[in-house]
Amino acid sequence: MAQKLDTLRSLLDWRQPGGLVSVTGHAAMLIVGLAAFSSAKPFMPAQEGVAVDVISEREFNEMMKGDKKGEKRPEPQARAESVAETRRTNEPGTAKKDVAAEPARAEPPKAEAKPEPQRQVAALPPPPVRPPELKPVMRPPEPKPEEPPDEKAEIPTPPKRPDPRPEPKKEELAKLLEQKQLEDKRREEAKAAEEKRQAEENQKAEEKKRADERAAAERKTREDREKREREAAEAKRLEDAIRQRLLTSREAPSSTGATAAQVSREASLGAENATGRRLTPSERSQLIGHLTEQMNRCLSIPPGAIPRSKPIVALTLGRDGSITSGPTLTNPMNEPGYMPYAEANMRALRNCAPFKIPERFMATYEDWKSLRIGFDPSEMQ
Amino acid sequence: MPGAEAQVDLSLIALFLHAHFIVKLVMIGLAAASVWSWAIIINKTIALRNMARSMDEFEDRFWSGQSLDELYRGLAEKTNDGFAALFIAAMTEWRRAFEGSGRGFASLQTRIDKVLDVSISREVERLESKLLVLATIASVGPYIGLFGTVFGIMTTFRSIAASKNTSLVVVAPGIAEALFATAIALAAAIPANIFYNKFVRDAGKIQGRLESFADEFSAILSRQIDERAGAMQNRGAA
Repeated sequence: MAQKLDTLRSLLDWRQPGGLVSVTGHAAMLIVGLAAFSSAKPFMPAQEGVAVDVISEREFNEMMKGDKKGEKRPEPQARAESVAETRRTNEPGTAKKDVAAEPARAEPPKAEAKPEPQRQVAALPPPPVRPPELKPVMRPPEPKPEEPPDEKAEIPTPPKRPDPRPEPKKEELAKLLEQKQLEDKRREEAKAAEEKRQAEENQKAEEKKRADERAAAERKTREDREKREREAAEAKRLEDAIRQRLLTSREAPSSTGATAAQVSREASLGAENATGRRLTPSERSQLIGHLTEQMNRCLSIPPGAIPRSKPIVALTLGRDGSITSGPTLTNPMNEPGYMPYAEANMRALRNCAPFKIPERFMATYEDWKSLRIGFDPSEMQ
Repeated sequence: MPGAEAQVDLSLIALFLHAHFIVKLVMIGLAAASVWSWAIIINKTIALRNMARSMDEFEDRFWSGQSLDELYRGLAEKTNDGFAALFIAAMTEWRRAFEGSGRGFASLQTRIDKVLDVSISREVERLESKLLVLATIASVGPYIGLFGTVFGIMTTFRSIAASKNTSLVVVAPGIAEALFATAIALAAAIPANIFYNKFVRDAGKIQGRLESFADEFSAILSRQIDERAGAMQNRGAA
C-alpha cells in the first residue's frame, strides 16, 4: 500500500517527471490519432498501364494466322471500318439550303419527255378521263409551281366547249320523238341548221385548240431553251466555284478509312505465309540445291589449287529470287587457293542472280530470305 | 458486435468500441503498458544523465588536490550517488577505524573493500531498477497484441459465418479493429526494446566506472593505512 502511494507520489515529483510526461504524451498522441484516423480514405481505382510487346516479323505473321474455321462468304462486301455518315451537303458554290429548283437539274430530260405526249393526248380523248390522269403525272416532274396551274387552267377549257354538243342533241332527239309526226320538215331544216352550226362550232373549236397547242409548243420550246441556258450558266458557275475552292483550299488531304452503310464483320482469313512455318532441314537443303544447281551454270573455277576448307557465303534473297544484299564471305582464310575459289563462287552467285525459286518455298520466305551457303570444294574434284 | 455494419465509422474510438470485450482489455492493458514504459524511459534518461554529471563533478573535485577529510565534510550531509556514495561509504569506514579503539588497522583494508563492493552493487541496482519492466514490455507486448488480433479475427470470422456474407465490406472493419491491437502492442514494445538496450549499456558503463574508481580509491586508502600503520609502529618503537 505504501509502495503504491510512493509510486503515485513519484508521479508528481519534479525530479521524476516521466509519469506525467508519458501520460500527457499519450493523451496527445491519442488526440492526434483520432484526428488522423477519423476517416479512412477510399481507394482510388488504379489505372492500368498498357503493356507493349516487341515482336519479330515471324511472330507477327503467326499472330496474323486468322480464323482457321472462317469461311469465305459468297458475295464479297466492301470493307468498311465505320458506318458512313448520311449527312447531305450541297455542292460548293450552290445555296446551302435546298431550293425548289435544285432537284430539277438532275432529271430534266424525263420531265421534258413526259409532259409532251400527255399534253397532246390531253386535248384529244374524252374529258372525264383526263383530269385524274394528268394530275398525278404532271405534278412531280414539273418542278416549277407556276407551270402546272397554267396547264390546268388551259386544259379544263376544252371539255366545256364540246360539252354542249351532246346535251342539245339529246334534247332535240326528245323533241323530235315528240314532234316527229307533226314537224318532219321543220325538224329536217332544224337538223340541217343545227348540224351546220355544229360543224362550224367544231371547226372553230378545232382551230382554237390547234392555236392553243401551237402556242403551248412555242412556249414550251422557249422555256426549254431558257432552262438549258440557265442550267449551262449554273453549271459553269458551279465549275468555277469548285475550281476556285480547290485552288484556295489549304486543307491537308485526309482519309478516315473506308466507310459503308454497314461495318463488315467478316473474320480476316489470314495471309498465306501467316503460319510462321519454317523450312524443314530437307527443304532447306533442297532450296540450297536449287540455288547451287542454277549457280553452277555461271561458275568457272580458276585453275590452281583447290582448297580444303569450305567457304561459307551469306546473302539475302528477295521473293523473286534476286539477291538483295551480299554475297559476303563469312570465313576468310589464308589457305592457298581459298580466296580465288570463294571469289569465283560469289561471282557465280552474282552473275546468275535472279534465281528461279519454286512456288512451294514462297510460304516460308521469311525463313530463307537470309541464307548461308557453303561451297564444298571436295565436290569440285 | 451489433451495429458494426450499420455505419462504417473507422475512427480510433469506433474501432475500440466495436472490438470484443477481451480485445478491449488487451488494448487497454497495452495502452497502460505503453504509458508506463514511457514514464520509465523518461525517468531513467534523466536519472542516468544526472548520475553521469554528478560523477564527472565529483571526479574533478576528487583529483583537484583537496584533502580527503575536507571533501568528506563537504559531502557528508548530502544524499549522494555514484562516486560520492562510494567515497562517503569508504571514508565512513575509515574514520570509524580511527575514531573508535584506534587500533583496527589489521582488517581495515578488507572492510573498506567490502563496503565499496556493497555500495557499488547498491548503486547499480538503483540504476537498473525498473529496466526489467521495459524488458518485459518489449518482449511480451507483441505477443499480447497478437493475441488480441487473433481473438479479434476469430470473432470477426465467427460473425461473418453467422451473417453468411463474405463481402469485404463486412470482413474489413473487424480485421481492422483486430489489427489495431497489434498496432498498439508494437507502438509500446518498439521504444521499450530500444531504450532497454540503451539503458543496459549505459548502466554497464557506469558500473565499470564505479568499479575502477573503487579500485583506485581502495589503493589510495590502503597506502594511507600502511603509512599510518608504519608511523604507529615507529611511534611504538620510539
